[in-house]
Amino acid sequence: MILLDDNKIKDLNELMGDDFSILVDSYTNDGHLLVTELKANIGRYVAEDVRKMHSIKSTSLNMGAVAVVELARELEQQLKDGQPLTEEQWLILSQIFSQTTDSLVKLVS
Amino acid sequence: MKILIVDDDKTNLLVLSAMLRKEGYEVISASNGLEAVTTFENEHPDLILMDVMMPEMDGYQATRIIKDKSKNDFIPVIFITAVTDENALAQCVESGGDDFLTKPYSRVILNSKINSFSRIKQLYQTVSSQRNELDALNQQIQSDINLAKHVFTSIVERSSRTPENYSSWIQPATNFSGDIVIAAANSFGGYNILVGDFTGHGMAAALGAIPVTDLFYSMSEKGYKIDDIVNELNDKVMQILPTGYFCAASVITFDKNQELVSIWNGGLPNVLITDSDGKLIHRIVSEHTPFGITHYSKENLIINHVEIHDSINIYAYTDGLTDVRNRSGIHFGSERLLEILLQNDHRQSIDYLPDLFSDYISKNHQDDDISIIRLGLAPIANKSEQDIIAPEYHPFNWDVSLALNSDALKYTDPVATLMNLAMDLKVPRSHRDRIYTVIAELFNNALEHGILGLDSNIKATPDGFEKYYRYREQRLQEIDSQDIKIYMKNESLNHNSARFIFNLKYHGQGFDFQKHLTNTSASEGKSGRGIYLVRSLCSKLDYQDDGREVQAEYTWSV
Repeated sequence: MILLDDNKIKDLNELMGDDFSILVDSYTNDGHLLVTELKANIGRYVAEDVRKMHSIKSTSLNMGAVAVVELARELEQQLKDGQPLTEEQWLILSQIFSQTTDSLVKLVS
Repeated sequence: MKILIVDDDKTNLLVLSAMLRKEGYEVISASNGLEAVTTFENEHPDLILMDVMMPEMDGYQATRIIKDKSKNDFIPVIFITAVTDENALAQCVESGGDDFLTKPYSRVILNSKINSFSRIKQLYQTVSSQRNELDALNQQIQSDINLAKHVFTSIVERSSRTPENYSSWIQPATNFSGDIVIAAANSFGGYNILVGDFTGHGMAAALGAIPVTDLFYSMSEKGYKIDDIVNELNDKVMQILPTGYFCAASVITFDKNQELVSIWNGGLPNVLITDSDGKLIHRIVSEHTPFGITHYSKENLIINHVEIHDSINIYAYTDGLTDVRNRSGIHFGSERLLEILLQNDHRQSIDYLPDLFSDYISKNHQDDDISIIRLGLAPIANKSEQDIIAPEYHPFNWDVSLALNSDALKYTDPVATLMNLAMDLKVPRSHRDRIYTVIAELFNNALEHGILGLDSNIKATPDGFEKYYRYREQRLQEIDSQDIKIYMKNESLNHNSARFIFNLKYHGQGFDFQKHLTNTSASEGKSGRGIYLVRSLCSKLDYQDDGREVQAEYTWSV
């Protein structure tokens, strides 16, 4: 599975320069927070989760985190349809997000 | 250029900020709609990049508030969103957004959008600063117009007095009328009326009206005759208006007896005269060019003198009236106007005309100024005098003598000169009119009978007046080494009364003043009655040396 769009990462690196690590930190921390918050609502529908999933998708788009974007897009649509996340769906999201941030952190160091 | 980025996603803020800073923009940020509104108010950004979905307040709502707060300015809002469904994008525009970009966006496109909005914004600023300048200019013009209108109105409409049987209708096509209608009291106890139509309409046309009006009033007051007034007005218009601008006009004058009306027409439509049965008896056609085209020669000036036996109505109007078109483009026309005037001749006023016209013209545009007057005249035996007593009148000692040689008699208007001099006495109006009568009658008698040897019986024939004035002109041109010496004196008797003395001498054949003095019946010549009138006005009237010298004394008081 391709986690990151290499061209996008290259662009970002060029654009941000020394601040690239700040961007990665910010993505990691904010994304982690959102993913954790979503865990609380497994199995029950909360309208606010649509926005949260949308944020994960949106922020991941910026980072070229294509795998997270793909998954978050599907889940956002599901939440919009009123279907809450299952535990399995959340686990997959959490894993893919973690692998993505791991890759990013490696890139920075 | 200062750009505000609004996004709850920190990574997005970081990436966008870095991008825009690299392009040289100043960047500020807000992490939700509410914060965006506050930041907008404090920082006054030039452009806003707005996310849609945010906590606290979404991008739509924030945009609405910001657009509402920046009505007088143009702050472009570009939505940047990961939302892709059409309804959501439509909402971006509905909430007041100027454009949108969907994520993932291209940096090139974002940049070009920012550039294009920056150009639009500059254009907007140029236009709005020009609009502000225009507004200010417009206000200035408006206040200038109001001032001009005030000045214009107070000059043109300075006199509240009008002849007894007089009505007028003036309807400008714009703010200012390029038509003038003036009824100025003259020093002969009657009125001089001017109906004029300057080239064009509006302010440009009205400008000429001010000096013309001023001159007309002052010449009327000083007792100038119609031919002098016409000549002077023409010279004035020639002097002040550029080539191609002129004033078609008609001048109508009558004295207090209302036995004769003199009409001059230069370029106006026919002046119409009806008799007491409402029949058209005269059309005074224009036989001269309008004021302002060429100098008139005084000898060739055609003045129409119309005797009034019973009663007449005079109509004078500008062609704005007959040139009016209805919706089918058909002119109102002079024949239609004549028909209407004759039908309504028995009415006391022309106040029926405006309605009739607005019916005809319907919703069509009025292209030119419209003016018409109606003047009813009938001979008056003894006009009632109204004294206007003003406290500033006080008698003082004064004397003046002058000699008029034959050229002065030929080429100037001595009566006006004399009246001008007598005006300095500051006599109450009713006395002034009588003093004028004394001066005019005695002078004209001396000139017409004593020097020119005219027979006043000529006037008794049907076209007598015209004949008489023609002879008068002819003989006046023939005189040679004649002169008239005049002495006028005012003796103050006490603080509120004085004696005015008028003495006149000439070398000539003299005339039978006895005949004139006893001649009191109307049928036997008009001028005889003039001397009779003078004698009745004066405390003393003495003729000597076969009528070659006359002295009149008139006592007046405040």
